[in-house]
Amino acid sequence: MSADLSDELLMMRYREGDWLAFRELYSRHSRGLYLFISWRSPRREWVDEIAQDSWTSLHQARARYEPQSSFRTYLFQIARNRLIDLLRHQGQTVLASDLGHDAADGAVFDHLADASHETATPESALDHKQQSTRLHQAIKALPEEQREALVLQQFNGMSLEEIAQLTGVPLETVKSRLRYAMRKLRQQLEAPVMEGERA
Amino acid sequence: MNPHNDTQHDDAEFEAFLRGEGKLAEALRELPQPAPSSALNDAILAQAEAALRQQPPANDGAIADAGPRPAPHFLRRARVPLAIAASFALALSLTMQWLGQPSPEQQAINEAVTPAADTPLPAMAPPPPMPPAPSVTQQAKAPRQRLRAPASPAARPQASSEAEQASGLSVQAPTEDKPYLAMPAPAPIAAPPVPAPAPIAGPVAARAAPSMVAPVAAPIAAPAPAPAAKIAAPEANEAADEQARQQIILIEELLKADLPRDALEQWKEFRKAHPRYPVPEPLATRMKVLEQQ
Repeated sequence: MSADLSDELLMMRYREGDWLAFRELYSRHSRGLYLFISWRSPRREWVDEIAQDSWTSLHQARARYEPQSSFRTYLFQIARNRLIDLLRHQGQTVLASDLGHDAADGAVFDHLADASHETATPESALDHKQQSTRLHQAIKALPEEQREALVLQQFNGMSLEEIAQLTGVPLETVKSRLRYAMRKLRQQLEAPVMEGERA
Repeated sequence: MNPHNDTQHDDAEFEAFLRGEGKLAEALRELPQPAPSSALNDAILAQAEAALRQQPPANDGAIADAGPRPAPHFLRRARVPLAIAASFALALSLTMQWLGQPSPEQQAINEAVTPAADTPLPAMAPPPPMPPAPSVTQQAKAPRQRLRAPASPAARPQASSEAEQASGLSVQAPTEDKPYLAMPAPAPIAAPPVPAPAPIAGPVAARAAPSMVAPVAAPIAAPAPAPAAKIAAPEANEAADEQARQQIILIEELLKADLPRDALEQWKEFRKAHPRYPVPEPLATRMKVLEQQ
């Protein structure tokens, strides 16, 4: 039954204490939220904590939820604010790692890339892994705003309007960020592979 | 190829990219993505379930599907403090009346019982702290002056028609409470019935939360005696200050909960109601920034 309901209606039910409504909301959005936080967070070890805090904050703020805005935007806004708070408090210590050189993050991505190509032939698996690695690094190297817009649009499937609402910038700004991100990634993909990368 | 064609080509590619078409979008789709571990899922779900059990569903669940519900009024948090303040003000005013203005009935009784006029009043008729709990019939007959002076059997039959009218209210009060007591799970905050907020609380409560206190307070407040009226002004100021303080706390909590829009809304209401109330500098600065955004 819950699967047929919109996010907003489920949230209204959850607000009144409906546990099944929460479970359905969680199953719909936990992966997307986690993915967003993972790409956005400069520290791998923050991701679980921010995800957990976000759902806790959703529970605490559920009475104030108004269904005028989309539930997903509301949820992501909570996570985003939490992340911004963390960055504000520990800003100096994460600046270096925010450039995409977090060793723990790289290790996790390598593991994911390996797991996703386990069934392919060794050569194609290697090619795929190299491309994935380059793309991953290129995304991590994007400016924060561009990376956020890219993740929300390409990975989370948000509309430009939703992204504008979530990030608090005009629609044209979102478009511009996405356009720059696309160009940079395309350049990275089209650049010749260095010998060192093949090794 | 001229620059115009380049731009058109770029636009077309961009539109395709947004639709998830093209080599880059495809590569992005195939990129392995992180996912929450099952341990994290279990932890979050267990935490949410425990939190839901601790906080029972709201009483208005039946109307949840009817549409958006307005945010709870900020005075909901101030209900208990206001009720306490009203009770205290009532007790204070009654005490002052007892000490300063013995009623005519009491004076008459005193004179009848003790012919010596110079005998100190407290020695003759010390006012009991609270009258004994009367039956409903007694309440109906008891005049309002019963609260000011200790009731005496001799004085009761002299109750005026005005007093009987007022006493009708005190008879109704318990019956109004009946359905409330019969509710299966009353919310803890709403539980304390406002104890007849009385003359002093009347103006404050009527302005602050008409739906909570005014219906009870207004009829009683109308014939308020003079001493109570003198106390009313400072009490009203105190209540207004308390209300302002509660609103500031609420705004700060909203900011802590990362709900700047709600905070801004409350802030506007607060500023409208208390334009000159002093606000902590950091909060004022933050709200100014929010207003400008």
